[in-house]
Amino acid sequence: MVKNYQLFLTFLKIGLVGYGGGSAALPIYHKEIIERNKWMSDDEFSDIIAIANTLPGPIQPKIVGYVGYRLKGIIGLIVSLLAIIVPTVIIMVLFLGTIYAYKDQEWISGMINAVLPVVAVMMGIMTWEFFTKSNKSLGPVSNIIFIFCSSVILVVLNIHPAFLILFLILIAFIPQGGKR
Amino acid sequence: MIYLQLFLAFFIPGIIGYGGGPAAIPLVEYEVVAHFNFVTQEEFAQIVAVQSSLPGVTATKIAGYIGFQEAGVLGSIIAVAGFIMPSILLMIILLGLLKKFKSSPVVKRITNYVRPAIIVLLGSLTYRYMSDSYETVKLLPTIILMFVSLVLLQKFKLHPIYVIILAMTYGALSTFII
Repeated sequence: MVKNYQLFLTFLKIGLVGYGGGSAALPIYHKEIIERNKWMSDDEFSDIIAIANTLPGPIQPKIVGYVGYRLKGIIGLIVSLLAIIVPTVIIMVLFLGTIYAYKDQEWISGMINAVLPVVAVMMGIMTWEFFTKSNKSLGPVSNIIFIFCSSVILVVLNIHPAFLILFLILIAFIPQGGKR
Repeated sequence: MIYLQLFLAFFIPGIIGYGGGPAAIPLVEYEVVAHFNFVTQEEFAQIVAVQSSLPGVTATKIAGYIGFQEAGVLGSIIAVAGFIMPSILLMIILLGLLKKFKSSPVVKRITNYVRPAIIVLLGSLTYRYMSDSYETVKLLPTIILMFVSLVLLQKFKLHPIYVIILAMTYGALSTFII
């Protein structure tokens, strides 16, 4: 029988060593949940990942929350989520809190301003990765058309992204004839 | 009311964000910077920098941090819950039903159709951070820092934490020298 503290320790560990957002982190979940703890079968875990992908929102909390619930009910769900989220949030609060407290110091403001170009590059890399992925899944022509229309709606017309995305989700439900 | 605002600011990206945590970043940015003004554009960039240097759940950390910053522990809980609970609950309640859809072409299409919108938001974020950087650290350092981090992140596949530390060291030292 799985104990709540085992859930806590396992997800604490994943939360502290698992780098990489989204599906990049999934191998470590597989290793801990299936190989080390044998909490469920490989098939069930693949199902969970596939189903998590059908729903919106960040993927890791869905997996953690579901696994916690599946093994130990509501308490398991809460314990697992706390373990994976709280430690890093505390580190963020402490680190940024300290830095912002000394923001008036010139060298501190120089330090935090210098991350701007790095974050710009990180966002640029993500944009590029998504762009190439989209080129593959939609094809170059549809990709450009989708991007152009999204730009007009979001940037030129300045419409809230939620409306555009809801619309895109709706048109995904329209059955498509023939190919693919 | 702050709690309701925090809830909405993260509930919306959580419920429409297809493509996982990283894809939710520009949606969260829209809510917390443009819509609810919880943090400035520069602060959000700093938050992204710090969170990418830390392990764990990408965008959820941002929810926890901003929630705490705005309204303490309860704010943090509300922001995180608003962000992740709707989809977790749907998963628990509808698991049987969703099993039928897991390989449906509709699901694949949703991710594929939403992605271009995320690309536009990410692209505009990239542009705004570049112009922010131009205004605060000026043109030449911006170009050098961008070039060096691009090479380190893409070519040498260095983890962001080292690049962030390097940039911060440069930023701190440059205020003494210049």
